[in-house]
Amino acid sequence: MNIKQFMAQDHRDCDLLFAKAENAAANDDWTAASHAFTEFVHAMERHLGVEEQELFPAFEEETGILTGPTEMMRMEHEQMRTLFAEMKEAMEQQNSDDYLGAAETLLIMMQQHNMKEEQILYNMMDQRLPDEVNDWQKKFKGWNKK
Amino acid sequence: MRADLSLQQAPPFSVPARFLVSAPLFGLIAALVLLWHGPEMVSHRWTPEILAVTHFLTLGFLAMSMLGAMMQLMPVLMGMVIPRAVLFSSVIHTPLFLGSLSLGMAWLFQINQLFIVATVLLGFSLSAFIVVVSDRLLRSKNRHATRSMMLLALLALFITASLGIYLSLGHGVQTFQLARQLTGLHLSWGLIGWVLLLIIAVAYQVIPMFQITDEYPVSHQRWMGWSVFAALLCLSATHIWSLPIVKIFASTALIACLIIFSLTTLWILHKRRRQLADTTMRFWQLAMVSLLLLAMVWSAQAYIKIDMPALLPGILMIHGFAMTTVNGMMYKIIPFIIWLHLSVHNKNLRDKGERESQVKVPHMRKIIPEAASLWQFRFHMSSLILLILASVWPLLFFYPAAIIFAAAQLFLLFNLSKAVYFYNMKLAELSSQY
Repeated sequence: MNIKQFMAQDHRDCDLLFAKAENAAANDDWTAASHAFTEFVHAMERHLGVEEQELFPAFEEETGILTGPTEMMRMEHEQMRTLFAEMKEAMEQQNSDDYLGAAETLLIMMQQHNMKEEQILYNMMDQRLPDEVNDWQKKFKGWNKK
Repeated sequence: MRADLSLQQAPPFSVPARFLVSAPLFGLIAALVLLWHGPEMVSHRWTPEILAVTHFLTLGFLAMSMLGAMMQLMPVLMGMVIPRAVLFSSVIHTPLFLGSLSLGMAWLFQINQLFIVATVLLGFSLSAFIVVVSDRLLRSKNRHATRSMMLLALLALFITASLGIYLSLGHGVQTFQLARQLTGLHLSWGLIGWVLLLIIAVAYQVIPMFQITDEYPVSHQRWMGWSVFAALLCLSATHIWSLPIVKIFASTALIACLIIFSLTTLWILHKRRRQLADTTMRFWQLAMVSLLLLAMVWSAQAYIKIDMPALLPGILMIHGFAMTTVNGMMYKIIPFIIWLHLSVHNKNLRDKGERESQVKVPHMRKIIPEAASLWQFRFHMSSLILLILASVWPLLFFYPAAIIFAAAQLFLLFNLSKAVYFYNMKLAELSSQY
């Protein structure tokens, strides 16, 4: 599986976890919401982590582009992390309006980010990098053990 | 590297905002014209007042918001950048605004010269938009079905605008004969070609993304745009030559497309992974139900030859389908881009070391509260039901329909303007917190 296929599928998987947490929060089931949210953030951090630590550096090294798309993507990752923190805070306070508001903002942020990656960046990576650069898929699968 | 450019952030806030906030202003003007002229104006389809209201809605509300939304969405959906976005949006927005206003006034006050003013302004605005955006789309490397459908929609807009200019000159220039027989073509290319195709193109991408649903079936995405376009071409041919079989065939194909698209969308939404029924989702559902009703009305007219109220298809298409979709999208676009621009501004201030503290940027529901959009949705839906009733019993329902329609547009204008005001306040507040 190449980078685009693998990572695009992971985007879809993360979306499902996002929906699970949002559904629970919308029903004021905070125990289930908290579990699902932890699962979601974990999956997201694994995705973002593999990109930031393995794929982006490999791409930057190969192309010599340090201030291009990867820099933009890193900035958007930070914006997403700010929203994770906001969602977490709302969840701890069991404030569903704040949770759902931050979650909706994250959803749009995340989807437009994924789209840029899937339509542009991953294609560029698949053209320039070998499929198994830095053993990234192995590291992705072993992420839980870190 | 060219592709780098397309990863850059959205255009400045003022670019989409000026279009989106202008739209309900025209909706409100249209509603006031209804109130001013009363139920006599709906005696038949082509009274000057109805033509004025129709164009306030199709140009002032729909074209206005659709062009604005395209400028915002295309960099993200299509990976393309519109050069000098602020300048370009002014060059498009100002003549579109003034042109739509002049065209409506030309009919309301029967001032022939205003038709010429409107023709020049609208012709300039729309052609500049079509040329620049088509050029960018043709050069985009994106191969999603949305791209070809957007190109078809722009071609349909070009045909609509050309026919419109020709018709408008018939009103404005004494020596020019009014080509009334082209009205049906102008209307079909505008509403089915441009509006429907663009909304389908956008739905293919935004519904699965923002409601977390399955994708539309691949064959649906591949054939829908071309089928609608081809059926429209056939229908156009029947305006020139008498081809009764082609006419039945093309109408059937179009009705089938409307039914397939609306039912698929309703099904996909029904099976969505997000259980949360946000306001935008309700707008989508209402829009699809309207489209389905339109298909039924159209079938009744085409096959059983039942006489339907003259304005019913227009109400279902313009208000029920198109304005509903756009209204729903506005509640995603405006709060999100406000959040996005505020967070980028916040980050820039922090990076420059002008401020140390973390300031929380308000999330989308703080920018337009869910209750505000939900109530506006209820007004919008009530106005649709009343307008449908008014098309059958104008004497009873005309004024309630016009009043609730005005209220729904005023409410939308209020929600959007308040969000823009909030943005400006927050921007100032963020900058002042060192």
